[in-house]
Amino acid sequence: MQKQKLSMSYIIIVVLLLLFVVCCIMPFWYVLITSLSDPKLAVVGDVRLFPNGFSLESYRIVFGETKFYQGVLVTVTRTVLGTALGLLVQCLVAYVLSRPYLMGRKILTKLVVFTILFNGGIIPTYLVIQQLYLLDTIWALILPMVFNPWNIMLLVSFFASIPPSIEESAKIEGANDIVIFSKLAIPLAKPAVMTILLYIAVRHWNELMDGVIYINMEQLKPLQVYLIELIMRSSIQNMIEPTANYVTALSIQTTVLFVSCVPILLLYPVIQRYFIKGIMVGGVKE
Amino acid sequence: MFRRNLNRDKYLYAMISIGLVFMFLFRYLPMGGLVIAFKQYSLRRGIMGSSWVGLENFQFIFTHNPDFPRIVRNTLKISLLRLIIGFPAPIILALMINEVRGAKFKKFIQTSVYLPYFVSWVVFGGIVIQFLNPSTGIVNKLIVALGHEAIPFMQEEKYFKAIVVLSDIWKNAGWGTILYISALTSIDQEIYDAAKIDGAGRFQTILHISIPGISSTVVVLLLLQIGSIMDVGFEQIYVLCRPILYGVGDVISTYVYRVGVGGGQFSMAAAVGLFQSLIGLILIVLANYICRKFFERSLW
Amino acid sequence: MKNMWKTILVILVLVVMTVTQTFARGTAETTSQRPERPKLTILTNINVDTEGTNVNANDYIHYIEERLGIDIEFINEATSANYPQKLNTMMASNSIPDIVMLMDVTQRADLARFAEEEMLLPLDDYLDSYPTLKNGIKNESWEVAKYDGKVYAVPFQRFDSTPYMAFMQRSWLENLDIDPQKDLVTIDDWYTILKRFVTDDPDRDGKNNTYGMTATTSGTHFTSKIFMDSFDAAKDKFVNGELLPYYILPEYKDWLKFMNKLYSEKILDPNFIVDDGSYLWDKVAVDGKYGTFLWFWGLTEYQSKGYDRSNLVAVKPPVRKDGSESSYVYSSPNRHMMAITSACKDPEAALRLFDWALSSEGGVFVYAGLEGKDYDIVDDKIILRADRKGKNIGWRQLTLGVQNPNVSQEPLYSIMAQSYGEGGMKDLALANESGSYNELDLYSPTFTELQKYDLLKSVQEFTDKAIIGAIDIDAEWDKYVASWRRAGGDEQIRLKTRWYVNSPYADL
Repeated sequence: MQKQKLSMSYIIIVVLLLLFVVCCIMPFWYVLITSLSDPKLAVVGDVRLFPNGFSLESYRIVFGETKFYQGVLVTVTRTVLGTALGLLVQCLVAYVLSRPYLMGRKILTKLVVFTILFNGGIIPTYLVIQQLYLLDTIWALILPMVFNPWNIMLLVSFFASIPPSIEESAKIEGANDIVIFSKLAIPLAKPAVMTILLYIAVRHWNELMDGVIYINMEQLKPLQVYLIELIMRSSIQNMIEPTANYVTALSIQTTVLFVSCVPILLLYPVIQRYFIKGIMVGGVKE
Repeated sequence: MFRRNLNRDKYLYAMISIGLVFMFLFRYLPMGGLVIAFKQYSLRRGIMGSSWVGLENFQFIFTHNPDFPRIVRNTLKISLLRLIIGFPAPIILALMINEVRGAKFKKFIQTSVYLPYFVSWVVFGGIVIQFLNPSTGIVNKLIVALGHEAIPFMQEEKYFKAIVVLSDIWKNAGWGTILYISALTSIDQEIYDAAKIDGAGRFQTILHISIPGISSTVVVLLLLQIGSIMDVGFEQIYVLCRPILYGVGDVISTYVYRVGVGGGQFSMAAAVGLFQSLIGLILIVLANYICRKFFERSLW
Repeated sequence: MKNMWKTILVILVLVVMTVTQTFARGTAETTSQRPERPKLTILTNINVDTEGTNVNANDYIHYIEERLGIDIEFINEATSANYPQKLNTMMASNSIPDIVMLMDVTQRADLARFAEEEMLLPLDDYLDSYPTLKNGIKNESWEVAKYDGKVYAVPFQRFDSTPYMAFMQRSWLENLDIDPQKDLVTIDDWYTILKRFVTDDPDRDGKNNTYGMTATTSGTHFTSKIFMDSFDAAKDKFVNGELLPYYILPEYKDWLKFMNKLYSEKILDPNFIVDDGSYLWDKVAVDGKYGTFLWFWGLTEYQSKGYDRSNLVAVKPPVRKDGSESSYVYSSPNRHMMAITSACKDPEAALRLFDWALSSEGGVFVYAGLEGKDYDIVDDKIILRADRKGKNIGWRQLTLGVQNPNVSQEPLYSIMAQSYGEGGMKDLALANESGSYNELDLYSPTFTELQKYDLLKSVQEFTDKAIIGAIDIDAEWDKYVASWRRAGGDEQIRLKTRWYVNSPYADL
C-alpha cells in the first residue's frame, strides 16, 4: 500500500467533487424518500433524510397493475432490439466515415450532419411511418431511432483516432474492411462504443413521445407511457371524483420516477467495466 | 480512378449502405414535409395538396409578431450562456473525476453525479423552484441567516438566465461527463507515467495530456452545440418560466408550442423550425471552417 | 463467449417480441368478432383510473357495448400535455377515428379548425331525432359547439355552472366572530376581513404569521380571480362601438390595482406567483396559515390528504359597486366536446350512445355505476356500496363522452349525495348559484384566422407584473393595451365586433 502525500490540489478537487455529489444525490434522494412517505404527509419540495411516515402504498399501485408489466415487456424489447440494431448501424456508418481515404467521405459526412440540423417535424415523420405500415407495431419504436447522426459524429471522432498504421498492417496481412472493423476498430474504441450503447439504451428506455404518437394499441404502449398515465390519473381524478380514495399525485409521481430509472441506473456500473484503457493489440509504435 | 476507389472500398460502401437507407427513410423523407413552411397547411388536403403561400408565413412571424425579436433574443442569450458556462462544466468535472484515486471512490462519484439526469424536468424544476422559494427555500434560508433579505429569485427577471443555466448544469453535467471520462480512459497510461517521471505537476499534466487527449471529442460536441444554438430545450423552460418572466424566459420552443401545437398552426411552426435550422447551419459551417483553419480539427 | 451470450439474448428477445405481438393482435381480433354490430373508434383523453383495467376491456365498457349493441374501440392518450399531438397526428393520418374528444383550452379552436376543413359532421339535422340529447343539454353548451352556425360536436356539459368556490378557514371565522352572511358582502368588507386575517392572529397561535388569502399559478391564475366579477372586470363588453375583451377594460385596471394593494400589504400570499396548485393543500391544510382560496368546490385533494371539508366554509364573492350580485366566472359550461368525424360510417350509432348517456338510465350508470358491482337496489332506492362510493365516476363520465347534468333532480340527486356527502352537495348548490360565464366571449364564434396570434401571453405577463407591483399600473396601462392591439388584438376586436352587431345579443 503506497503512501501518497495528499497535496493541496487533491484535497480541493475531492472536496469540490463531494460537494457536487451531495447536490446531485439530493434531488434523487428527495424523490426516493417522498415515494416512501405516507402520501397524506408528503409535501412538495420537502427534502428530508427519512420518509415522513413510511408507506409503500404508491409502490403497491404502480406494481399492482398488469399494465405495468406489459409496459416493461414492451420497453425491454424495444430497448434491447433498438440498442443492438442502433449500435451496429451507427458504428458501421461511423467507422466508414472515419476512413480519410474514402471517396465521397466529405459529402456523406455533410449529409449526416445535415440531418442533425434539419428535422421534418412530427406530422411528416408520422406520415412516413404510416406509409411504411409500421404504425401500431413495435418496429415503430425501434427503427426510427436506428440512425442517430449525433452519436455517429461522436463515434467518427473516436474511430478516427485509431492509428492508421494498425489498419495498414492488418490490410497487408490480407484482412478486409469488415474484419478490421469487427476485430480491431470496435475493441480499440471500446470505451466510446460502450458509451454510445449506454446513450442509446437510456434514450430507448426513457422515450415517451413515440409511444404516444405511433402506438394506439394499449398492449404495445411502452412503460413510460403507462407511468406518465399514472401520474396524470392521480392529479386529474382528484379533481373529478368525489371520494378521497386515491393516493396523492406527488406520491405517485415520485414513485413512478424512481421505478422508471432504477433499471437504467443499474446499467451504468455494468458499462463502466468496459471503460478499460485502450488496448494496443500488437500495435506499431509511432 | 473512380472505379478503382469504388472497388477498393467496396466493403466500406456495403457497410454504410444500411445506415444510409435508414437515414433516407427516417430523416430525409420526412424532411420533405418542411415544404409546409411555404404553404398553408391543410390537414384535409395534406402536405402535397396544400396551397403555396411563398414566404408569407415567414413574413408574418417576423413582422406581425412584435414579440418575435424578443423571443429570439432570449433564445440566443440563454444558448450563449449555456455554451460559455454549461459546455465546459462536464469537461472540468470529468477532468476532476479523472484525478481521483481509488477505483471504488471514483466509481461512487461517477455514479452519483449523473443521478439528476434521470429526474424529469417536471420534478426537477419543482425542486429548483422550491429551493429558491423566498420563505421556505434552502437558499433563502441561508441568505437570511447571513443577515440579508430574502430574494424572490423566481419573480425577478435578472436571475432567470442564471437559474436556467445553473440548473441545467446541475441536472445534466454529470451525464455529460460519461463521454469525456470514456475519452480520458482512451489516453495511453504510458504518457502519464512518462510525464510524471519528467516531473510534471498535476495542472501541467491536465493541460498538456488530458485536455489534448479529449480534444477531438470536445470539438465535435462544441460544433454540434453551436449548430443548435437557436434551440433551447422546451421542457426546462416550460417548467421554470412563469408569465411574469416571459420577458426573458419566453424562447422559440415555448412560443412554437403555444401557437404551433396549441393553435394548430403547423405551417408557422414549420417556418420557425426552418428558420432555427438555417441559422444553425450557417453557424455550424462557420464554426467548422474556423476550427479547421486554426485548430486543424473539424466535422468535415 | 460474449458473442454467444449476445446471440442468445437476441433470440430470447425476438421470441418475447413475437409473443407480445401475437398476444396483442389476438386480443384485438376477439373484440371484432361481431360483424353485424356497428363499430366506433373513439379518440379519447381518459385520464382517470379504472382500477388498473384496460380501457377497452372492463366491466363498464362491456356493459355499454351490450346495452347499446355497438362495438367500441378506444384510442386513448391519457396525458393532457401530449393529447394535442395525438389529436393532430391522428387527424393528419389517412385513418381518422370516428369520434374525437376535443379538450382543454384549445377545444373551440380545434373544432373550428376541423370543421372548416370539413373533417367533422354537422349534427343539426340529426338532433331532432334525439330529443333526449337535444333537450338534455342547455343552449349555452350547444352554442359553444358551433362553427359557422352549425353544431359540430356534442358537448360534455358540466353539472355545476362553475367548478369554483372560494373557501375560508372555519376556525378563523369563528375565532374572529365573523358571519359571512352579514360581514362579507361588499368589496370593502372583504378587504377589512382579509386584513383582520393578517393582523388579528386568527389561528390563535400567538404569532404574526398569517395571510388573508392565497392563490396559485395554475391555469392563468384563475385562483386569484375571486374579485374579478365584483369589479365587473371578468366579462367582455361592447364599448364605444367595439367589442372589447375584459382584460383591456378600465375595470380590469381597477381590479389589478386592488390585487396589487392586497399583495403589497401582504394580505395576498407573496409566493402565489411561483407556487403552483400542488402547494395549495400544504398551505391551506398542513400549514394552515392562509385564510382564503379559490378552487374546485369538490375539494377532493384536500380530503385525500385526510382533512374534513367542514373545516372550510364556502363563501360567495362580494357584490359589485352598484350592489348587484357578482359571480365566479368560468370559461365554459363544457368540460370537453365529442365531435363525430366525416370518416364515421355510422353516425347514428354515435348519437345513440350520447343520447343514452343523457337519459335517466345513462345518468344512473355514470353516477352510480353497475348494479351488483357498485350499488344495490333496496326498496326501490339505489344504495351505493360503501367501498364503491365515488369510485370510477370520472371513468364512466369520460368513457361516454357526455353526461346527464341534472344532478339536482332525482334519481341523480340522492346518488350524488351518497358520494359527495351533504356538505359537498351544499357547496355544489352554492357553486351553481355563484357561477356564470363570459357570455359574449362564449357565444362569439371562433375565428380561425386569429389562431396564429399569440394574444394571451402579454395579458398574463402584464397581469402578474401588475399584481406584484413590478410595474406601475397607471403608467404602463396604455402601452399594454396599445401593444396588445398591435399584436393582433385589433384584428380580434374587428372580427368580434362585426359578429356582435349582427347578432341577437346586440339588441339586448
